[in-house]
Amino acid sequence: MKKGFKKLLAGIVTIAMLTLAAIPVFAANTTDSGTGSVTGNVTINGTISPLTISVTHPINAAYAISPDAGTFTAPDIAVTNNTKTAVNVTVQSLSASSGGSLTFTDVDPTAKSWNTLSLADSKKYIALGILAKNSTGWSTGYNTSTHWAVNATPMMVGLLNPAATGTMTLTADYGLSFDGTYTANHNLVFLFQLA
Amino acid sequence: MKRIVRRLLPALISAAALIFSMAAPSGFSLTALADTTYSTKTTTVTIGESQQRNQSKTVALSRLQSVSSVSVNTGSVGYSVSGSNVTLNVSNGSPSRTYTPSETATASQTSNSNSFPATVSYNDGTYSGTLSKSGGVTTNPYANYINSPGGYFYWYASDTSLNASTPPWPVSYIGGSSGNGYGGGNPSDYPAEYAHNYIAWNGGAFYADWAGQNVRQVYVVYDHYSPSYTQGYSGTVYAAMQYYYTYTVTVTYTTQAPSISLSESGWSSSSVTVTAGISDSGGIAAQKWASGNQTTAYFNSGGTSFSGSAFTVTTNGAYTVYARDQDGNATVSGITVDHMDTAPPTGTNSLSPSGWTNGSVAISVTASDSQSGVKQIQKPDGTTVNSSTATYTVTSNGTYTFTLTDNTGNSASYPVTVSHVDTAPPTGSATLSPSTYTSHSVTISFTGSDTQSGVATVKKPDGTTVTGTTTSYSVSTNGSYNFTVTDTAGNAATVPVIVSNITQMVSVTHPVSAAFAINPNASPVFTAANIPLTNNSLIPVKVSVQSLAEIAGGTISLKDVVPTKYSDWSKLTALQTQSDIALGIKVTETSTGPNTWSEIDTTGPLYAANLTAGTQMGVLNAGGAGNLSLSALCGLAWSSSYTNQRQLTLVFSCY
Repeated sequence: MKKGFKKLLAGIVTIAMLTLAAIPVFAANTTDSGTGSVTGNVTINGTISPLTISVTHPINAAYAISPDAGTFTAPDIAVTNNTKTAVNVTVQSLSASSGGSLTFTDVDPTAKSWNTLSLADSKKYIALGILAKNSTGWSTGYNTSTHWAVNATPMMVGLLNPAATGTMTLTADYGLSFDGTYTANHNLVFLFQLA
Repeated sequence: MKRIVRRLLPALISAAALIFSMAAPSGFSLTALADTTYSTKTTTVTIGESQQRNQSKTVALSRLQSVSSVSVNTGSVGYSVSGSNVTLNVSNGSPSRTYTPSETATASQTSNSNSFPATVSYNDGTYSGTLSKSGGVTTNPYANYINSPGGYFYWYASDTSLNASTPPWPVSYIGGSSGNGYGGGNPSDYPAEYAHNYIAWNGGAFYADWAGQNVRQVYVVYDHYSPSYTQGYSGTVYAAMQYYYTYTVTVTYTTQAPSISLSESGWSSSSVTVTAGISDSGGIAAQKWASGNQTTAYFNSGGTSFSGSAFTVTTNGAYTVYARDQDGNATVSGITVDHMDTAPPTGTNSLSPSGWTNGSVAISVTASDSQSGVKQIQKPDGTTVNSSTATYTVTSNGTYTFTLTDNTGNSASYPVTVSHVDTAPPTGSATLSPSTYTSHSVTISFTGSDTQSGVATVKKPDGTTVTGTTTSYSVSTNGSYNFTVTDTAGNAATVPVIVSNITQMVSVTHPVSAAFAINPNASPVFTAANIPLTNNSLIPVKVSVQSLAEIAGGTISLKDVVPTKYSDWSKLTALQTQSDIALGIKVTETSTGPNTWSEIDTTGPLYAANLTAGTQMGVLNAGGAGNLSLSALCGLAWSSSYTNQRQLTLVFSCY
């Protein structure tokens, strides 16, 4: 069974495009005159544009639960920092969403006895989490914890230097009583911030 | 006829010529030409028969010049000349004849006894021989004739003509020379016995006076006490053989040559008359003249005969006059004619003052004429002075012509150029350094000029005077500065020099504001337009940064930090980025030029964090334009748009 993911990024990109068009413009001249020595003042007006954050990541990722095999499989989610500076990668939210044949309710992995879950509970509850797959690409001190979907608090995964790619992976606890093939959706929202 | 030519040595000729030349200050000179040709004459002189073997005879030879030779027929002959008299001295000739003279001599012998020899020898020093008795014996009561002094004697006197008196002879006085004994008293008192009492004769002469006659000589004294017998003797006696000499002397001599005295007439520019005074007592046979110094031989066929006592020549130089007398003697005499004067006088001049003057100049002209002498000088104004010097005063440059005239009438123009009168004042010019506008002092380089006497001194505006043409003077304010130039002649001129390029007015145009932009997404991240500066001043302006600091009004406050605070500004965090900035300012241009910076002091950014107030950025030429440009080191992690305001304070000051 595969679940879909979405991201949250569009607002930041729009702001970055507006600041690139700014050009300094001079004001009028003045002439200072006097005997021996005169003082002239020039007001310096500085305009500072924000840095555009650019991160490449997949727009969806599919996971599959195979009850017979007892396996949960999901592709890696690679995040590449294209920004000139380092950015902090935060899992802002991971939550179940409608649109699939099932709509899970995210629960803490410890909240259920997943191997004994009934058909109804298997089709209702899931504990889906995301975490850094390994240290590759991440700056020292990255977060090795798993952000469970049931948690509303964002979790910063780590710092990606410019041009660095960090890999994240999904993990889940789930029931085994599925009586058919179902689909379910989750939304994954990353927050990329200038470090 | 034998001719003898006597020539003087050339050295003597020269010496004589010199003497004549020096001794003829009146204007002409005589030249002693030592060429006289004499003809010889011969005369025979007989020196008559004489027993004297050596004889002399003086003969007068008319117009005797010199004795050429003397010869004699026997023996030898010598001669001496005194004037025209020639004294001939002959000697050692052979006798022309001999002769033995004889005479009858008498003698007597006196004796106290009457006994006499038959013959006696006779020798009176000239004659000698043997005498025989002649006559009988006579008795002489008055003693014997005595021949030697001593004793007392009768005396016998005679006058000087041997007119004997008969003793005793009345003698009124008898005396003798000093030292001789003699008696005194009246002789008449001692007619016969007088003498024997008084005479003590020692030899010498007695003097007697009788019959009113003075000084008669006593010749014979007889011995009063020796009466004797006298026997006479006579006979022929002979003298020694006599030799007679006769000389015939031949004298060869020359007579005097004609004499010539020459003189020339006074100064003339056409001809000079030579007056020739020719004299010869024997008469002149020929007279000629010729130019140059000639010998008598020349005139054998050359020369110009002239009559009278003068001839005329037209050129100066040596002339020879020739004269030959009737004896054939010929002589020449020279004259240097120098009264032909065709050369005008020459002149010298002196100018007073001789150096440059702005007044008058006295021209003193001295004429000289080595021949006839200077008669007069005509001045440039036509007036004349009868002198060899003249003075003429002028007040301007030019050529002034004097006319110099000698006593012969020769004249010459004598121009004198005066070129050291300078009445024109000098001028001057100046250059200013710098010649462009300046805020500093200006050095006036002043050069005086004077095309004539030249610049002597320049007096500066401060009153100091310098020698020479150029000087410099430094002023710090605009104005008119007077330099006084004085030339060598004393002319002075004041030359004002205007200085108007000193100014301290500063005027610079600059923008009232400038902008920079930080766009971390772009490259370069920091951009800022130049801050143009235009120096409107007439002088260069020094541009300094007084301050570059943040002012209120921006949306973000950024701290100025030194650029070394971060090793890599691109890795700043957002917090660092949005806190620190290293903002700097520099001169945009990197090279100087006449229309831009004359000096660039800050080619690298002057960061605000390091800024010391008044840091000089550069110097803008007058009318020049240059730019300042902002630069910055900043972070990239701008999370938002911001504005930031700063104020750049520049100081523009005179340079």
